[in-house]
Amino acid sequence: MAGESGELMEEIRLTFPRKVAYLRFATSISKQICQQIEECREDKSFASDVELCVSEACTNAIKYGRSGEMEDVISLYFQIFADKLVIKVQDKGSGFNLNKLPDPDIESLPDRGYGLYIIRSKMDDVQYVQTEEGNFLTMIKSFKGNFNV
Amino acid sequence: MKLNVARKDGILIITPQVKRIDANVASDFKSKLIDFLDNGDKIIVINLSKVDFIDSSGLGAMVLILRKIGTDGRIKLCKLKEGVSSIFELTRLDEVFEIHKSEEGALESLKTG
Repeated sequence: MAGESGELMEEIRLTFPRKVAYLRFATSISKQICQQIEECREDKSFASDVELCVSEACTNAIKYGRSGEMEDVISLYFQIFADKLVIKVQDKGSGFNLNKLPDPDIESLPDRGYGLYIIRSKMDDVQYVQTEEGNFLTMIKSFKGNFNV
Repeated sequence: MKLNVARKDGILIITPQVKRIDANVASDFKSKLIDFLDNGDKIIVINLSKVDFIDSSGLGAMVLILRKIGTDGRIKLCKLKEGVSSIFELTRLDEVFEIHKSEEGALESLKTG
């Protein structure tokens, strides 16, 4: 199935409890979704980059996305466009300022702060917005091949 | 998190028996490594031959141990698979950790260095 550039082909939504036990559930789904993208069957690094970034983003949401609501959950959206995969991670925590988080200073040997650096390095674009519905970390990775179901 | 542990000429060799070191196991991994340090082990080789996937949670656990060991001891990594090695390179932690291709190489460097 080939589509026009910018056309949303498919959207997969997952909601799971904000618990680390569900982390591998999220990364496993991301691997399966990447298998639907032709390029990623040829270029294994596409799926592994997405898996890594989903792991990083969901770990951050699990650690810091605590909501004051009864339903403490994280939502994960995979939007497959004709030419890119858009992944959104939604949590209901207090959020952060993406631009104020510096890359880790390796000289001082920090034991944290690598997650967002990895996401920024592996993805083509990263955005973060805070809305009334929660915080959305959006990660975008382009591909050239076709999306096939 | 299951670890295989061996000792050779006073060097502790730790081989994690997991395919993934992520937030699911990182705190357990960290506390087990700290236990070894607290029990007096200061020269350590971590053999990552079984590990296919590591993320920042796993990296953080190892950096913490490296910091804790400080100048009192030495820590070396060996047998990193390509995917794991690329994360160390991306984060420049390959410049901080001494990484060897083989366990024998890591052990030899500790004996001679």
